[in-house]
Amino acid sequence: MYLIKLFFSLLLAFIFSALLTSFFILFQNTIWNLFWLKNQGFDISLFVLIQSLLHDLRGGLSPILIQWGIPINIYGVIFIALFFGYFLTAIIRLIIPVNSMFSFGLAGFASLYGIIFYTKMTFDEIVLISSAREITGLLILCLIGFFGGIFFNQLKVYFLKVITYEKNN
Amino acid sequence: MKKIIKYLLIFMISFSLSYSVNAKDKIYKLETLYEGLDMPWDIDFLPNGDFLITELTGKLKIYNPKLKTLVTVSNVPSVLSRSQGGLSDVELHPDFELNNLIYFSYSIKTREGNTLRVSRAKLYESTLIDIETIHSAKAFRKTSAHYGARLLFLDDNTLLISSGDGFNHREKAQKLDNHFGKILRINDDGSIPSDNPIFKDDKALKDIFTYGHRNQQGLTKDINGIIYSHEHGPKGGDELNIIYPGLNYGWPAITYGIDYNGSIISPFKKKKGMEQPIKYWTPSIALSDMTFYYSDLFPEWHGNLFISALSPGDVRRLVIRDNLVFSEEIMFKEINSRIRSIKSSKNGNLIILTDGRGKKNSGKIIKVSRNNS
Repeated sequence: MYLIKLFFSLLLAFIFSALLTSFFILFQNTIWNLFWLKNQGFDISLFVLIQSLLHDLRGGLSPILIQWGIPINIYGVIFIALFFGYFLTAIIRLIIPVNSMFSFGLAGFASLYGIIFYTKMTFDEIVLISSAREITGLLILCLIGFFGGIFFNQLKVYFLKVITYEKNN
Repeated sequence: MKKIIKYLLIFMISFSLSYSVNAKDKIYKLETLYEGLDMPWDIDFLPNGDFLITELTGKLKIYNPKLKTLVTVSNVPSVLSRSQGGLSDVELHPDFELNNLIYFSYSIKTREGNTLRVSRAKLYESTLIDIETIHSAKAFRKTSAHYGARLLFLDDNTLLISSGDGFNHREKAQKLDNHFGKILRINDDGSIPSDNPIFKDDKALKDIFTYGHRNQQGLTKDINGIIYSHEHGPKGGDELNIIYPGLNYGWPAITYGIDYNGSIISPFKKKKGMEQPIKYWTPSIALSDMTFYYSDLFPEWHGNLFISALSPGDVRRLVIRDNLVFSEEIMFKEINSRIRSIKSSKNGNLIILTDGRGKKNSGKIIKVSRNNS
């Protein structure tokens, strides 16, 4: 029973943290594009910002690539990358006792870099997340992954506490 | 049961009648002249009626429509044939009969990155001689995407070159110190014409004719010399533009398309100082080439603009009046392939190239001629 609860706590932590990471990635992309437009002399009002962000959150649902015949959207790409990153980290941590918060942060960082690396390999150097085409943007994107990883770790701990609390009561 | 059979019979008869009427009504017929080209990209016509065809894989070929033979031209420079890059456009010099010069665009790999190059050479029988590079675009990239690569001779013998935005470098289309997302104008020897547009920016390159483009794969002019260009949008927003020197066509600051990941590239579609397309397509049809039709073989098409498209693969016949698109007809869907190029031959037939959906040696040359039956 405890293992099932542990599984669900990890699942919930993953879903929440991956969703938040996806949100910040899309947010960064929107801001990046709007910031460039502002430098080109466009008036970027709060309304334009919110409208663009909402559009991008919705737009992220449309397929970005087809892998093994399955259309995958940007959320799917981020979720898959983070899943592999965290899974690999969990296995490594069984062998090498590395600091949990730091290791999952690093996993998030590497996962997001992996997305860019993979899409560049697949699409002949094309970077599909436009904000990651420059080194600053890429670094911000990876840092979002880093904090996403830390958040996952914190949520994991939190949900485990909740489980323990429920168990004790 | 009888009723069902009755209605089924009526449906079948009316369907077959309408089909035969449609087939009879077609004023044109399609004929495959040749099958087996490897990613054909462009076609031009030699004075003797032969077709000069480029293949993206780096070969230049001459097709003789009378003998139905295909000859590979020798001495073609090596190209970077990868993804969207390779041997692209070919144009005969307006005085070809006097100087035998042909011009061709292609992608190459340099130390600084991949870029677009334009060379000219003399064509003697099936060999290129005196090959000379007349332009190398200042548009270096790691990708092999968005080269543009269309060529067009203007009436004053200057040459227009479309140079794409290199995909990852879209913002540079708004800067004038590079060749990303530009239409360039040079003399036939590669020098810069003295009457090219002058921009306020000191860093502006002297060969820039227009800017703010994405991936322009169609470049043509009408009988009055008005220049038309079309370009691929991202996800939606393919555009047809009329080209005037010195103007900014907006990409990526204004666009009718969105990014491939579903996000907004720009929430703006219009801005003062940035030109509007005379037509745009959303969803994208992946415009590939275009030609104006002025022959008497199809008088009903006189002055119409034929645009070929890769996705899903058809030709758009546009009726243009006073520089505005009056109507659009989707044609040649029955070809059922990605249509890479369309040109009007001297005898009035339309010649179409299909790229065989990327399958090796499955590109076709298709002739559209009058259906007299």
